Amino acid sequence: MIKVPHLMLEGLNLSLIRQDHPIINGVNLNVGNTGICGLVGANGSGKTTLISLMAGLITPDAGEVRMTGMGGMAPSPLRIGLMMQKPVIMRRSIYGNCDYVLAAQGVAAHERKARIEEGLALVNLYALRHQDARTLSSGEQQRMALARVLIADPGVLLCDEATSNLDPQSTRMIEAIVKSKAKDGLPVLWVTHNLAQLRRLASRVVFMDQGRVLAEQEISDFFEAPASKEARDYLYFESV
Amino acid sequence: MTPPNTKNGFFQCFAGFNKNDILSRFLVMELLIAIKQAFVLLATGDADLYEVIFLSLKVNLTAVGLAAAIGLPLGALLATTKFRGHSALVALINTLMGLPPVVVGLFVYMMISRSGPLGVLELLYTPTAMIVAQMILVTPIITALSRQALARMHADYQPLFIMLGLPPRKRMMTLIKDGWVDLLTALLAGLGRAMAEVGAVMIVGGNINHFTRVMTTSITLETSRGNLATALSLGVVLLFMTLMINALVVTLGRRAQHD
Ligand SMILES: Nc1ncnc2c1ncn2[C@@H]1O[C@H](COP(=O)(O)OP(=O)(O)OP(=O)(O)O)[C@@H](O)[C@H]1O
Ligand SMILES: [Mg+2]
Repeated sequence: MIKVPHLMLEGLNLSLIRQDHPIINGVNLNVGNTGICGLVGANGSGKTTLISLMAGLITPDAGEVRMTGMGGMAPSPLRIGLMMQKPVIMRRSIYGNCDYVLAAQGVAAHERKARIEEGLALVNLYALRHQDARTLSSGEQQRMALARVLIADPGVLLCDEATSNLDPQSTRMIEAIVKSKAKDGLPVLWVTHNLAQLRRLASRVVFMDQGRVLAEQEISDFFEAPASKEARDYLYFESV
Repeated sequence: MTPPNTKNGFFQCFAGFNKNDILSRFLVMELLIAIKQAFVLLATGDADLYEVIFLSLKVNLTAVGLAAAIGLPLGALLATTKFRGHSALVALINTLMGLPPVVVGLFVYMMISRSGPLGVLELLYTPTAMIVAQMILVTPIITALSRQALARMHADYQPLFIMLGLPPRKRMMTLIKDGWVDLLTALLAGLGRAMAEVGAVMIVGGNINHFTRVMTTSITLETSRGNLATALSLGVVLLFMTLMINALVVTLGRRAQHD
């Protein structure tokens, strides 16, 4: 895959109110190319909502998301790679799902084929490429979604529990891919409940609770001295 | 009480049939004769019958084709965009799905009768008038059903559409391409409704022999004349055709569900 200029994504004072209740409450978040940024927090703390705001799927009630091009490339929302907790599965084959995304970006037909085959081989789905995507297992769907995001050469990558349904082998494969991308300078935001994975991947951790960011620390600091009581509770099993 | 009697097995599958009841026995015989006559008429290529069948198909397929030309894009538009009055329009179309055919017939009649605003076109009692009436009847059905199917799909696809920055036209094309089974099901539902409809085509078509007579109006006429066997055999043919359409709808629907 070709190497492309990356984006920096900044959420400034983001707030989202639903039913008179703040789901996201004045959050500042910076996704740049300083290693993988881990985003953790209890169920319902607002991680998925925050990612949706950063990706532009929903508009914040206050604050803004700012995009800065890096390496002379103009920022474009089309270049945000989003891997959702529940990926969109089109009523097409795996290949068709990937092809749709590249065609929408105006990639020429002959180039699409090469890129898709490479991407599917990467997530070990090449053999299933003609199968209807809706008949895949949830782990396979997740792998397809990741391939679909990566072949589009995103300038920034937002992943919401990208390996939650994957077996250890697939997880290792995905981690290796994302790690090498990040090493090449791709800014990555990585949501996970898997703390061992967090240790393996992230260099920086953002901890959320009830729509607020309560801690933002280097990975080692986060595990050794969490900056908030809620984060300490979240890490309970790490300390016993 | 009575021991199982295989000889009467066939008759017993008619609900409420009593083999000792003369009327029940008569009705069943009548039905069997009609089914036989229907096949005889079909097999011998009875000219009048085929004329009626072909006009039915011509009028209703044309009406459904025109209704589809309006209903599918409108349904796709309503499924993919929100605007002022959107939900009111959706509610209106859903209501129009239940339009009474005779009311539509009356409305078209008033428009095209000699003293009506479109009277100069001299459309009353022509197949064209019937097509117009059927089209009005079927358009809301096709619009509502296709909107429903596409709206569900659109909700699933929307995050991808947003991330790819697709304009509404491309979104619509994608939904139509991926949802064609659902859309075909909507068209067939419209066709089934049109084929079975009698009130509107009777009012605006007039059931003129060799000109505007279709299957349903023909059945009405034969029944009122007392030609029950002919009416029934026409009914059997109509039933068979509707059955085929519905079988297609069910098959496609099941496929869409599995997909
Ligand atoms: N449209 C909405 N209306 C009302 N409440 C909402 C809406 N969307 C999300 N929420 C609420 O916002 C909170 C945050 O949800 P979110 O999905 O962002 O959590 P999460 O951190 O991703 O959780 P998980 O770890 O389970 O994935 C939840 O309490 C949820 O119920
Ligand atoms: Mg979530």
